[in-house]
Amino acid sequence: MAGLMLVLIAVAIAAAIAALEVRNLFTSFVAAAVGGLALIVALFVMRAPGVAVLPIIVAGALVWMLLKAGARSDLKTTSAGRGDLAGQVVGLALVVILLVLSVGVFSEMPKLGDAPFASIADSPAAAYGSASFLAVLFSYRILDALGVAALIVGAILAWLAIRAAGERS
Amino acid sequence: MQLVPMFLVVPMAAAILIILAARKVPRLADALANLATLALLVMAVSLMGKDGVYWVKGLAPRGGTPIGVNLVLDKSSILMLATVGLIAFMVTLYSIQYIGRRASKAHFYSLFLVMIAGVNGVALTGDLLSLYVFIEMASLASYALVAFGDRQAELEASFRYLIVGSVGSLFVLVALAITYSLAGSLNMAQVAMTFGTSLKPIHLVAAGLFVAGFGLKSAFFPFHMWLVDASRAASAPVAAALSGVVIEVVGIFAMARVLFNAIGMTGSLHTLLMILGTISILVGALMALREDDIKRALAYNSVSEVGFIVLALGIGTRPAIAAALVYIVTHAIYKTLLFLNAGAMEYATGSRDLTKLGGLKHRMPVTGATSVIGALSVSAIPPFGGFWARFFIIVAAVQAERYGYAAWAVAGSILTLASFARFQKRVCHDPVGETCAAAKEVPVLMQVSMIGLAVLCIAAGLLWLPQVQDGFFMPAAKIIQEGITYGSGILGM
Amino acid sequence: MVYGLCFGLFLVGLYGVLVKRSLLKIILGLAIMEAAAILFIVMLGYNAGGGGDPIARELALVAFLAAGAVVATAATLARRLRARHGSYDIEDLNRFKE
Repeated sequence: MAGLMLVLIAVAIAAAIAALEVRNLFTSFVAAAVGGLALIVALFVMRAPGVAVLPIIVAGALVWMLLKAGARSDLKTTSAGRGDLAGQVVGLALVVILLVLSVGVFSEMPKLGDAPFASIADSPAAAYGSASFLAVLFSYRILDALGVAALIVGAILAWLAIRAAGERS
Repeated sequence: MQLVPMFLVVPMAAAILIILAARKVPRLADALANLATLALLVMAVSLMGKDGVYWVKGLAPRGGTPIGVNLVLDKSSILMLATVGLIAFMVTLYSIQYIGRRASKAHFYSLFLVMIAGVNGVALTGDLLSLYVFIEMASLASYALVAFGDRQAELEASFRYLIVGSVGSLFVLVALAITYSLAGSLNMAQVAMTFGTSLKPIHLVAAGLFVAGFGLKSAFFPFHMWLVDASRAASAPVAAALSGVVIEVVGIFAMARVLFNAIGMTGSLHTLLMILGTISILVGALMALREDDIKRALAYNSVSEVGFIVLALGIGTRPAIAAALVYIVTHAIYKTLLFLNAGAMEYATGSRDLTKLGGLKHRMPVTGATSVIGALSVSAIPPFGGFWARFFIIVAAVQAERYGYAAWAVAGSILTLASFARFQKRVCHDPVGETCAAAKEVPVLMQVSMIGLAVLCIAAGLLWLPQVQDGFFMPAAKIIQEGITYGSGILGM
Repeated sequence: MVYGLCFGLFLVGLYGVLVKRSLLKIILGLAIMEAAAILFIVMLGYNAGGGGDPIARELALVAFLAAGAVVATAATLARRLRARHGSYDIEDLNRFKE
């Protein structure tokens, strides 16, 4: 189990790097799709198909949207770095620091498959028993559901506003 | 107590109503938006001094284990709600006449109200997942608000802000996930009780990620650059809301809640905050001095101010935290005033460049006078509110024997004073330049808003009174400073 | 160990955001970071035996929806920027600064 996950994530990492580095847009999308597929398989392996379905739909929608924007011919000029060298250095330094800090710390995390808090007897998870997460979402944690709905309303508003402003000018 | 969810319902309902009914009727949009923000302000004021925990759907804890989501109304969250309500109302009032012919008021107001709903949610929530949802809600609305108007600078600043803000949110999310795995619960009170006082390295990793994430949201060093570009590009009311409300509640207050009340502060976290805070003070003040564009200067100043607040949180004694809270309130007031002033100047002259704004005061008396008051506040001249806030922090630093930090804080204050003195000299004392010759004073409602804020700046000078301190700020500070004992209080209610 | 790799994916995304020039790739970097975070959360909730922890699943779903909304908005902005200035390159955009 853990081995399979390792392989899947490794594939995802390789695909992600490829998607970012490659110049040709089409190849980039293919790499991103491969990475996405690896992740979706991983989600299925973890028996979270509910969580996996949405990414599939949305990823498809995004790809369609971007392609429609006529982005096909772009990206000839993509080169590796930005103009401001200082910013780049800071960015890479940050990444390295995070990497260093995380070494060893993640070994303290529980093994894959051991619910880390099974031993915490009073956890809400224990109280919910084996209810499916959608049931929990819509009964106990309805505020979250409402909040997400509000967030989506906000996103739609944002899209409308940006589009309306564009048409106006 | 049942009033508490209204802080979320009112702005959201208004937002939806506006976009559905008022798209073609700007006056209706104005009315609805201002009614909503006024209602928030009134509710907040009426609830001052009350305490309580509101469990959604009445799902109170079973046997000490929270199973639902809660909203916590305590002295510190009500302070935030009142500040948010006040600033929101002033901004919507100003926007009635500021939002020009080009833009759609309905879209603006509804996005603004969604943002306010999110900010209120952040202030009230007692649950980490809800916190994340509300942060994203407020942030997403604010990205769109920065882009409002479709000028290239706005779109670009919005894009950068979106990326930076989302990275911040992701850091918070990962930190949240780690916290969950360690505590078995997302409820902040229960996390507090589970963590206790012994923190292993992995707890500190989570805390560090929270600092990074909230740091990006609050724009303190080294996460501050986005605020400058976003403030410059965005319209004045949006920039005011960003500096005055968003970075404070979604950034600083959320960080304080999570670090103090849920995770529990340790020595190294204190030191980290003090160092980052002090660097922010100095960097912000120095960069502000070099700027000629008013809005960029104000944004750098916000970075510096946030630095003061973070420094105070780092010091961690009760007077320091009370000072930080005073600072949040007064900064919200005068920073909003200053941004609205900048907007007024731009409205009248078409320019934000300081070198061209000579002698504006002669042409625009109200704007000029209120900007003087705002500048005096931000430069921390007594008896204005800004002075007391900064003074308290420095005093708290000295009391806690952090003399080095106190010295740097004083240095930062002097730099800020210098940058605003320069600004005032240009606007008030220089001869009228040609850009300003044609300028007239701005429309009435904008004036009302600015005058209102200026009056509050002066009133904020009274915040040092012991009655006010003991009545409002000390109890609020107590809650934060008591840290993880917050947990038992919540679950007991 | 698996968690460490997940964090590695997160960092790959971060690298993309910080270093890349094209707006599209920056958005891609962000999406990678989000995917890594969500994967991390689901892994936390995974129970070898039972159905998996509901709260973790819910957190993952919420994070995903929020992330989706943000990425969609970012894409809209990127499209508008390109429509106005014909380029997704962030350096070209810098040259147009007012």
